[in-house]
Amino acid sequence: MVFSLALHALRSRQAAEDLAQEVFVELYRNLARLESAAHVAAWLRRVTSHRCIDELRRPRRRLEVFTDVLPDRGEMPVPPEPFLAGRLRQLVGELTPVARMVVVLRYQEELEPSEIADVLQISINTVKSHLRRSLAALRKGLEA
Amino acid sequence: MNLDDDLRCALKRQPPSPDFADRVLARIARSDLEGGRGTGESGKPGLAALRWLAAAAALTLVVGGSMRYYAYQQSVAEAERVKAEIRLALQITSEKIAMVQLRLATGSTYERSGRNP
Repeated sequence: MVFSLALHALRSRQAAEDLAQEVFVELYRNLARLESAAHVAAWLRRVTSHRCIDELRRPRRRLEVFTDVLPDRGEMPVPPEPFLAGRLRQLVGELTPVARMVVVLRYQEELEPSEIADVLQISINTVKSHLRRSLAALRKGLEA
Repeated sequence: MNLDDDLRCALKRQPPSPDFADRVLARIARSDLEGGRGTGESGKPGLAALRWLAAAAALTLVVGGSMRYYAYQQSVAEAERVKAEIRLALQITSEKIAMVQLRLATGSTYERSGRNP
């Protein structure tokens, strides 16, 4: 869950593994405060999501592709993915950090908007708005 | 398929690399050394490691729950991923048990040598 959330948000295996490691180290430091398995899962989702958003907001991020060999997106235009799943991941990667996280939590973790609002500490209306606009942007991107 | 299903398929869970668990353990061990977390709040050796064991067990339960869910909803490949996560949790647990035993043994040695100098 932790690695995969980070992978879909950051679109780099290396960055996702680094972030996941940091999250598990933080879990280790906060174990005394966690009371149950459900609490641990919710804590992991929240911390991972916020760390991903912080990472995405950094001015110069690491590589935004699934392989480790291609140059940075700023240096070379990324061609459209030929397959639907890859194209969708690419389009999700073009959303704003919070919108991207909302979509990943919705479709990877199957969370309801109220649960996403809880994880990201934003209002449920903001979550719904992000979902609506993101889906519209994805549909438009697929048609292009 | 509609867009919702396409997104579920595109954003399905992905497993980390096989040596991910080792790297997490190494990082935690480094963090222990740097932060002096080899002893717990009470000063007893291995208490922090015991807390980690509790978390690893909790994670195993979380992953176990996920496994039932994905076996119902997703493909065989997805089930393989969950198995890998369980393996990771068990590996972390077993490593930590070894660490706790080592620390307890070391603590006992110190205690004995302190009483009988």
